Amino acid sequence: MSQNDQPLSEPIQEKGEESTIEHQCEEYLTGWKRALADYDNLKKTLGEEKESLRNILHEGVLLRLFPLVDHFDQALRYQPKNEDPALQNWIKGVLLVRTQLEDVLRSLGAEPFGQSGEIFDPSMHESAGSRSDAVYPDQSILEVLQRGWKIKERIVRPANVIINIHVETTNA
Amino acid sequence: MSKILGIDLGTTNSCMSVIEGGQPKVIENKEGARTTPSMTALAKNGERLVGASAKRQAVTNPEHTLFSVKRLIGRRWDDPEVQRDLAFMPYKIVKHGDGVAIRLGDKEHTPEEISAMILRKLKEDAEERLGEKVTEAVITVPAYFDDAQRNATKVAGEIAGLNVRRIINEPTAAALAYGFDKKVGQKILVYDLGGGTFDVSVLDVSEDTVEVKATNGDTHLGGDDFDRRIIEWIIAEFKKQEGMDLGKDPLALQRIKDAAEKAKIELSTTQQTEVNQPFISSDANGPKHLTLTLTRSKLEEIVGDLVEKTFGPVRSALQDAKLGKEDIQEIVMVGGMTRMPLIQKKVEDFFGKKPNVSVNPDEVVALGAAVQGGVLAGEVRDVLLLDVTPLSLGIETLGSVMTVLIARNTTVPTNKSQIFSTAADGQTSVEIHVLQGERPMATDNKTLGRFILSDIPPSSRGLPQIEVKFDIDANGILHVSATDKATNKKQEITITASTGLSKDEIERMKKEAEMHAQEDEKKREYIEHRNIAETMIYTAEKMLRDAGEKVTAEERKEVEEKITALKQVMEGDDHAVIKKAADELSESAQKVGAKMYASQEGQGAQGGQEAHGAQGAQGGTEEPIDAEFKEKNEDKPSENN
Repeated sequence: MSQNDQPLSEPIQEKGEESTIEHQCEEYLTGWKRALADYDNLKKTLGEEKESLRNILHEGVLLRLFPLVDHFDQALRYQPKNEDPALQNWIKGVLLVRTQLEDVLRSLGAEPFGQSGEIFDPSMHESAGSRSDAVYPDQSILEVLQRGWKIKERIVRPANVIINIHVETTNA
Repeated sequence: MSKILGIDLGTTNSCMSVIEGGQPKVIENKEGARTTPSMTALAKNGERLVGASAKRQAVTNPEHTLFSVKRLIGRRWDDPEVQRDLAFMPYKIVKHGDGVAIRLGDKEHTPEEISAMILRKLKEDAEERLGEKVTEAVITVPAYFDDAQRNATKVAGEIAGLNVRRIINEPTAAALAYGFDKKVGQKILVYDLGGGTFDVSVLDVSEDTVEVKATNGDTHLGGDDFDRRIIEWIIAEFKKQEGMDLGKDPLALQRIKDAAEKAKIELSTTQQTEVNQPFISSDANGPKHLTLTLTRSKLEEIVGDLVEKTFGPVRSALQDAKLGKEDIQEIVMVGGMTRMPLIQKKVEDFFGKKPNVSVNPDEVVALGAAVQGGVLAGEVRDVLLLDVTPLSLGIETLGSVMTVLIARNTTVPTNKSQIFSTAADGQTSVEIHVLQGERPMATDNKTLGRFILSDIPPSSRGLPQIEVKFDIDANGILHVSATDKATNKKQEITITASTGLSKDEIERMKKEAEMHAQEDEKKREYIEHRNIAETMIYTAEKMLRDAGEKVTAEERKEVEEKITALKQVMEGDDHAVIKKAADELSESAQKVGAKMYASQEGQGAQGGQEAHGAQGAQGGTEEPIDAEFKEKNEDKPSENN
């Protein structure tokens, strides 16, 4: 047996080398497969990113248009108190342009929100200040300074509001 | 194994990132934003708010809205920083043992608990985005944080349900995001101008560590100060124009804030912007409009001193590190404010080298934290680190132009082949002159090697198809081969030093290319026109030869005259004139060519095809392209002149 043991030791060593090579091959193959998979996944991710980029661009354009509606609203806020029918008719025309602009934004998927009387919700409203009015509920919106906008239920701009804070609760 | 979340827990905003496919990637929060305000609040209805929603109600709920808690974490009550903040913070800070606590409603919370609320939101939002549980994190802290502050940050992570695998320095994370941890022996300066704080750190990269040699800063200087200055300027200008103070009108103030932000961003890319807010207010005389022009130079005047203020800490940090500014090899910019061109310019002027700004400065720290997380998770080990070619590689072609085969910043391993042809009739050998660099002229670039492919069967210029193949293997070794497609005869060369340039050498070459861009472009254009003209002459002459009797004497004369005219102007240097003469020749030659085609379809195809080939130069790799070799031992450029 001892004689047989001797020559056997060599193949064992070879086997060891072989297994190292096998192991290495496996590692390389795994790496290769992983690289291919990564590439394949990258292609998918790029597709998704393209879509999201499109949304971001779309959103970016809309975000730049929202102030136009705000400025129309501001203009109306300061409309002259003049009964002159010609002027009133002119204002009516401007109002129609404003409505048209809002319709365009709606058709592009944007939805305005924020109304006086709603209860303040910081997930969609931003408070710019407060007043106290016992007539209305605490934390209700007294005035909407700037309406908010959402696209597909996502808040892209919170509504800017003045909220009601009952004096007795402010010390809580 | 779950992903390790890299978190930049900032004083004003926080950001998170994970490794995906070997690369760090920022994860958006639930609201779809890439950064989250580091704010928490207790709403009037008892609801706890974190992030943007906390920020949105801060004005009307200041006592129960907590921000900048990072300024308090891990500090003792008697710490001067805490005593200073007591006066500034609208919320209630109380003594809690030796440390501090914050009163929120009727409860007291430690800064760790408050930070944990932010971290928990980040964790939950990340889980929602990734669709898997996140239990481990790497969190960054300022380099100047002491053990107590680091420990407290770790505790905050644990309260949030995160196993904090490591706390790392913010500047180190920023350097990691740029991969600078591999630049052994380099000194890196990190310039971090955040929302409310300014930090500068000097890093020393060694074999397996990145050591912070010195740190300095200003805990009360940040982007918010810049914004405030712009808002104040707008209010003051309006007051000058209209005599009205808009600072007291909440809506007007909100609109000015938005306008100031927009102006600041626009002035990063333009020289001038309009602040246009119609109907901002009104008085007895009717509505008032805010219309101002803000130039970049005005903006720089408004905030110039704030920028200057950052260089005090920079100098101190260098002094503490016992380094001169020339010892700094890389400057990393962190914080959104560093997008401002003035800041980048001042930093560049100070150090005499361009700072690194390519990674989003709002996200670079979080990305670096994710990289560290990836290393800990073993993800980065599995991923082969791929290198890029720092400079473009190509060969010299007709007119001593460098034709690029592999553009700079291409990830290796990669290969690219292109088919070229000969520049003269009967040319039997071509020299492949392998070049590296960004300049269009061969002589301005670095020669990597040359070899000759000979024994090309003699034929008309433009006919032989010689495929040149560049192959860079994973070790950055470049193999260039040239094969004559007709005979399959092949010559090749192996260049080992293709990526072995030093950083300085690469920078110098890039800078030179930038500096000479304009004149190089002119030179390239000039040679291009000469090459086109030369091809035009060759094609026209060949066409006349081939045509024989098929052209009338009159037509022949016209083309010949145009050829003579073009040859004449080519003795001069005015490429506009050369181009004009070449166009005229082309027109006459085309007329004749068209006639030949019409009279004898098929046979005359040869000449026509070549003319077409010469004009439709930058085609695919299948067609012989216009960039031809100059023959060895043949003084092609001078012949062309």
